[in-house]
Amino acid sequence: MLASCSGDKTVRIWQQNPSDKLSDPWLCKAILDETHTRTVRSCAWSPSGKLLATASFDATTAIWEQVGDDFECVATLEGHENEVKSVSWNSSGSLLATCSRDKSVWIWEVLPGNEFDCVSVLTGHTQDVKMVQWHPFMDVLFSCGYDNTIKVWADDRDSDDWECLQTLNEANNGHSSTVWALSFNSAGDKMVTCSDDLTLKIWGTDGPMNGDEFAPWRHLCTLSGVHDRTIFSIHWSREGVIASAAADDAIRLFADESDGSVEGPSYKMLLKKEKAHDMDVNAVQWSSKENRLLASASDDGTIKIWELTSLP
Amino acid sequence: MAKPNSWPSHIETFVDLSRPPNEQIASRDAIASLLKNDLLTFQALVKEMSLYLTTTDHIIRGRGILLLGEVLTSLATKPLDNTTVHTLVLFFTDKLADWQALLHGGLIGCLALLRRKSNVGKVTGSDARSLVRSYMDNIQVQSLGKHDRKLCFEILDCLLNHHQDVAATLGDDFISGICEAIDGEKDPQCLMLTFHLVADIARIFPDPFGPLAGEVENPKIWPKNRTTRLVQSRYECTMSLLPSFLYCFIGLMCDISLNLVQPNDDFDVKRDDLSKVLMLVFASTPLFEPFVIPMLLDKLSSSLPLAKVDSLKYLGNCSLKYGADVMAKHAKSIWSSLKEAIFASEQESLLSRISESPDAMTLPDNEIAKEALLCLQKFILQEDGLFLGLILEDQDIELILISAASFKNFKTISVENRQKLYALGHMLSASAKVSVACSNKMFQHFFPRLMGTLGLSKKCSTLGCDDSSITSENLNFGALYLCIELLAACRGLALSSEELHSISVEESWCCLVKKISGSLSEVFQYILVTSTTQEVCEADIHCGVKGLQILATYPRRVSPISESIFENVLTIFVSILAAGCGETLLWKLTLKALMDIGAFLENFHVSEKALSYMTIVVEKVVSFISRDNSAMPLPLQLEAVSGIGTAGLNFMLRATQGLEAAISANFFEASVNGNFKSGETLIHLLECFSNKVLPWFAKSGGFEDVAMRFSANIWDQIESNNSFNISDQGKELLDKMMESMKQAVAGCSNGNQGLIVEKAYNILLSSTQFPRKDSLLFSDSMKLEELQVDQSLNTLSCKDKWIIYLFASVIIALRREIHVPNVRIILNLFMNLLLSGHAPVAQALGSMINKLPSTKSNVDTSCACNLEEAMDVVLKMGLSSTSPLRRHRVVDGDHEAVDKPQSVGVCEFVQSKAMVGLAWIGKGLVMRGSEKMKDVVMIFLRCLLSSSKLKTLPSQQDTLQECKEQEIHPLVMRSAADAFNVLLSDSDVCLNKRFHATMKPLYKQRFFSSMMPILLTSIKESDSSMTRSMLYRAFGNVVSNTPLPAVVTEAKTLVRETAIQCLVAMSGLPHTRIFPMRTKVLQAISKSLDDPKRTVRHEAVRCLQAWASISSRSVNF
Amino acid sequence: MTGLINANPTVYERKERRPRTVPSFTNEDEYSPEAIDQLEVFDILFYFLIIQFNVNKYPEHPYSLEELKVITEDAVEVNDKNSHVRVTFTPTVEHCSMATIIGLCIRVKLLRSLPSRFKVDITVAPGTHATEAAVNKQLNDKERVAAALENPNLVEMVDQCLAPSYD
Repeated sequence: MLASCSGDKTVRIWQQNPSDKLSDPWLCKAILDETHTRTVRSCAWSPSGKLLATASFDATTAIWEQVGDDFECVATLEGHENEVKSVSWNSSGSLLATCSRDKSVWIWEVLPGNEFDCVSVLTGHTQDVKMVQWHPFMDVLFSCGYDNTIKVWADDRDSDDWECLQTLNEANNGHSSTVWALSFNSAGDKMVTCSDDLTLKIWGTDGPMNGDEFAPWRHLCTLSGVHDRTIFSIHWSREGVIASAAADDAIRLFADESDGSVEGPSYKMLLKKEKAHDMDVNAVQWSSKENRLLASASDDGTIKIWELTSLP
Repeated sequence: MAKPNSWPSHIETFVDLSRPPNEQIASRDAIASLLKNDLLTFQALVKEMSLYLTTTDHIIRGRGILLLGEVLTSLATKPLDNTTVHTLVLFFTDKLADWQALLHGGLIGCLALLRRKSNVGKVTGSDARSLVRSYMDNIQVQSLGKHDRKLCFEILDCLLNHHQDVAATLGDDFISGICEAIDGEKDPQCLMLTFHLVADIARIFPDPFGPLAGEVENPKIWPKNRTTRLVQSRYECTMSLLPSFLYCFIGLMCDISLNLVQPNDDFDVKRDDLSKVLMLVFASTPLFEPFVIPMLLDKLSSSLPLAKVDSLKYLGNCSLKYGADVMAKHAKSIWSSLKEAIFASEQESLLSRISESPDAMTLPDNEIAKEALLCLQKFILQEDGLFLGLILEDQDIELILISAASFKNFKTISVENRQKLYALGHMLSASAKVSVACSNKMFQHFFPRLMGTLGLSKKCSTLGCDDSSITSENLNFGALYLCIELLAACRGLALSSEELHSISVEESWCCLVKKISGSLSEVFQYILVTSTTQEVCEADIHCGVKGLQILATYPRRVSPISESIFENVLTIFVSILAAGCGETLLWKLTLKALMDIGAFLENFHVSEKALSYMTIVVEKVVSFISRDNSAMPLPLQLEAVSGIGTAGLNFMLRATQGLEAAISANFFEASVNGNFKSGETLIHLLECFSNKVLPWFAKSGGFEDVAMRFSANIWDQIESNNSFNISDQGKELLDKMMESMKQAVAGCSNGNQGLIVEKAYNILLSSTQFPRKDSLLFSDSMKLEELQVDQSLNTLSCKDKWIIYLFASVIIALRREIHVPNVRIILNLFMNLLLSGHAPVAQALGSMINKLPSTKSNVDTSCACNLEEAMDVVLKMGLSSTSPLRRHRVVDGDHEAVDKPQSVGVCEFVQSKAMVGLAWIGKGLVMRGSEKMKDVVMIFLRCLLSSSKLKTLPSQQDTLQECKEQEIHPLVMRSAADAFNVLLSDSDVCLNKRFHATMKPLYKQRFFSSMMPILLTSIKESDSSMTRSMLYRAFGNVVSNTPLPAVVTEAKTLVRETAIQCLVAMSGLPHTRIFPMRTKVLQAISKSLDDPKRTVRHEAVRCLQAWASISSRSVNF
Repeated sequence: MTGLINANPTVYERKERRPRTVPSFTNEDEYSPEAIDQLEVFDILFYFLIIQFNVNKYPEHPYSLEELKVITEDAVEVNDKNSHVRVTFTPTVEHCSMATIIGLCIRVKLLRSLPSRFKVDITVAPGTHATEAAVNKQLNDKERVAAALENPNLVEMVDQCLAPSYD
């Protein structure tokens, strides 16, 4: 099942067509409309897959629940002053994070009965926040945005409030322009970010992954010259393949080729797919299943499903 | 060609993988050609290569072997001495033992060798044997890659075909080796080969006792002294290995049928090919029977429909090939699985099937059931007694019969029981159809029993019956239905063998049916009779009607029912029709049944019954319409009449008589006494006449007479009654009458058309109150100049209108060859009428112009006329009436003579009418591809351009003033613009194939390409928005009526640009009207932003801007 | 935004427009494509952008961007083959808060007028504007632009600017 959101103010749910895998493999199962009044910028399935969160320029975040064959809006999260740009569930599905042009990041607690409670408003960013993303299994939140930084947030046990543990900026080999997206490898010890400065950056941490104490993230390597225009989206597959999408209409795939040598990991380009779309490619996302399906969305109004047929 | 001394370098090139492929191939070919031309010997080559062929470097060695193999392949036709061949065989045989990864070259070599024909040095038997040995010992086929497996199979195939003697003498392990090799093969291409292999095995190792033994091509394979025991044992081992791979075939078939495997992804293997070969393999020898049949039966239980269908096909096919005695032992299991297939599959309901004509083979649509039944028939055909026995004794059938007997009413039968019932019905009829003997058996077994259920059993013995016994009590749906299926089956059988007279009346089923038919028909009748009074469920009605119909349509010799019963049936049906006061199911079915009966009588020339059909059915039905006191609504009456008529010529003739009578009667009533109701009736009658009757005659002959009678009748009536007046519903009635007239005339022969038009013309002339009769009468001498627009024709008397319109209809329907009397007079008259807006007249004029000879005909010069002259009349009058443009006529020829004032003050109304009229004339010209068309079109164009400063006509400066003071009215401009629609759109009232129009091929395309430039320039130069919008309208009409391909290929920059301008103009229309198109337009236009031409892009920008601003302000549209 | 921003801007002579030879519709050049070039794109921008400086005062005195030297023909780079357009514009005075609006208008106009395959970069001429970088970054952040263009007031103003271009 795949959810897509669009400037036409709707969200569409797509599902693989069991009857006809060849000629007509994906069917639009539902259209979620008449809830958001402006562009829907991002959407995210809850870990359980039962709920879908959608973030819209109309400053609200909507929560949808599947009832039978169609979807009902069971909650609307208000609070941001203007465009909500990204939404993310934590690994347990107990927390939800949203971010907005109003420079703030909000953390919501998921209560029974589809109640959502704002537990914290994080105001570290100096410009609008493009994306929020939870760590794959720890309750550590990452956000990035127009102020060229990536910020790491966690719950401080003593004050029991959320605080910014680390800021990755130009000073520590960070990006020199808007950071559009970030994604983690399955082990959770590496992170990739992409930016308007036309580079991808790989970050790493050595710390234990139990979340007891925080181990800071450091810059591992920078991949530049891989796209000719702004890189909007990036996603790291379970198998370790990084997919990137950019305004140059292209999709790129990268994989780790480091042979444990001392000078850190190095990444080689597996594939450059020029003209993957007719216009800017805005998003890429690997299937959460084991299969090697990649979905890409573009200004040309299409979503394409790609299959990675072979790994080297 | 390579130099002899340089050839070793080629070897290096080929062996060196770092070299590009094309170089390697080139060097290989070079070596090959050296060998071919004896500039190099194999010995020398092998010697030179020995290093490569023996090196421990796997890659190099592999390449070396490959080189040798490929070279050998390309030398298939090169004679080689035995020693060379021998050494090569030894070499490659040895290489088969080489490391698996390098096998490729070795296999290629072996194949190439084995394929060699004896005339160029064939491999000796012993060599071949040793090669096979090595093959057997060293190669695990299934562990190889697809391409190498293919090679392996080709080697085996080659061995079995080119070295049969060797193959035949090889030990059992050879066969087992083959079986191993092909066991588990999944690749379609390879499977094709394995199929052939198996077929070959069956051919080369036939069963000494089996049917194939005789057919062994090469007897010396089987020396008489060979002990059959050894042979036997060989089969056992062969067969013991077969099943596994047969299963995998089937598995593959299923996969393919599910598209899991794409048979033709890289190879071109289609499912059907595989399926065919597989069927071949199965049927290749009865020896497979022990494995194939059980497996097929097993596959029958598969969940894949396609697999089911396939196995059924194979089963039938195999049974024929294997023969009865082989199959006998499976009969039971086959029967039970067939039964399962038939009962399991969804049967479509009685309702849908039983109402179709009785002759139709009544098979279910369901694929599986159909196959199963066909298969069943095959088996029954093969082993009559045995299989029928199984059916007759079957317990499930027994149960179904019992349960059927227990439920009287259809409603009380559960759905799945109904399904079972239908399935059984299919089975019984399918079995009974197989042969007379079968139907006898079936009848003897089932019929009395069913009769018993129906409480008619005692009647089976005693003839004659009293209906007292029939009550709704002993109506049993199940029994009735099964009866009908059986009856229908035998009827089909009887009909099919009717010509041969092969069925004797003594056949037991005949006697049985004869005995019972009387009381059966009473049961059916009883159902129908009761159904008219009380509620009876549809299924029963179906039974009743169908039952009677079948009884009534047995071939004469075996007909079970007496004349009287037959007539009874007809009477009942007719009375149902007569009572029919609504579109009830009963009514429909009855009519259908009667039609089928009629058709049957007609087709099988059952004269005496046909007679009673005529008197009882046709006469009665015809009387419906002659007496208007009938309770039945008129449409139903007509449906009945025309329906019954279609049964046969005689019936239709009678029906038509009635119809004609009714038509003339009502026409008289309506026209003389102005009887409104008759008018209404007449409309329906004419509809039926032109939609049902005429087409039927056109199809089945006898059209002329009917058509002539009709038109004569109508004209006579019009002529005869002077107080002709049709009031209210005049318009619709006249239209219907014209339609019928056109159709009647159009279908007639030239001779008759001539007669009709002559008659019509005379009536036209003699019509007393006709205006300016005198001038018409003596106008043969008239000079064109004297022709004048006569406004007195604006108002016509009803009768004149009818005469003129019907005359027009006649003209419209004429063929080109038919000579129209006094063309000039008619032209003049028509032009006058046209200008006062009588559309049909304009259409007639258009048709005339379309069919007139282009050169002067030599016959009767006084009143004959060719296109040239005709167009003079048309243009003169047309232009004068569409003035104030007349002065511009200068452009197309000198007509200064026409004096100015005459038609000044003609109201826009007339002008616009004139435009429409001229459009039809233009259409006639456009279709025949005449240049004259331009003159007419110019009139429209000038009218369109009139309100702008006619740049197109510089010579007319002096008239500009005048133009200004009398602007053309928008109404007129619009009709001028819409004239282009008339010009190009297809019409069904005139100027089409049906009415013999002259059509030049591609006339639309021609018009398009000749008009486009003119229109486009006019648009470019026109300065008034009014004019432009009108021109756009015309442009739109032309484009939308031209076939798309033409438009696309012709779509020059200017066309594209103008098309977009049209859209811009349209954006001015009321938004509510155009909003629905908004998205579509925007998407289309945003593509034009990338048009190769700048001007088009510029227009596209404006267009987007215009349409985008229609509503939402979103930038992305 | 219609308030007094720059009541009396410097107005330059209208440069003589470079004439383009009107294409004839003869068949030989019928199928020869005409690439989208600098002049064509400039034409698109030239006719439309009438910034309503201080509407209340001089409604009847709109100046085209060219007259104000906001855009010159050379400031438009077009590469049809690579589907790329770069427009460098010069805000009338420093701190002109209209800079963003002008940029937005240019973007919208090109969005509506160029084939979708085109990539457009819009930048303030270097050294001509105080918050040059900020303006550039905003104008080329398509998310921000998209969001802005969903704001009715803004769109209305943009359309106002674009309106005269139509017909």
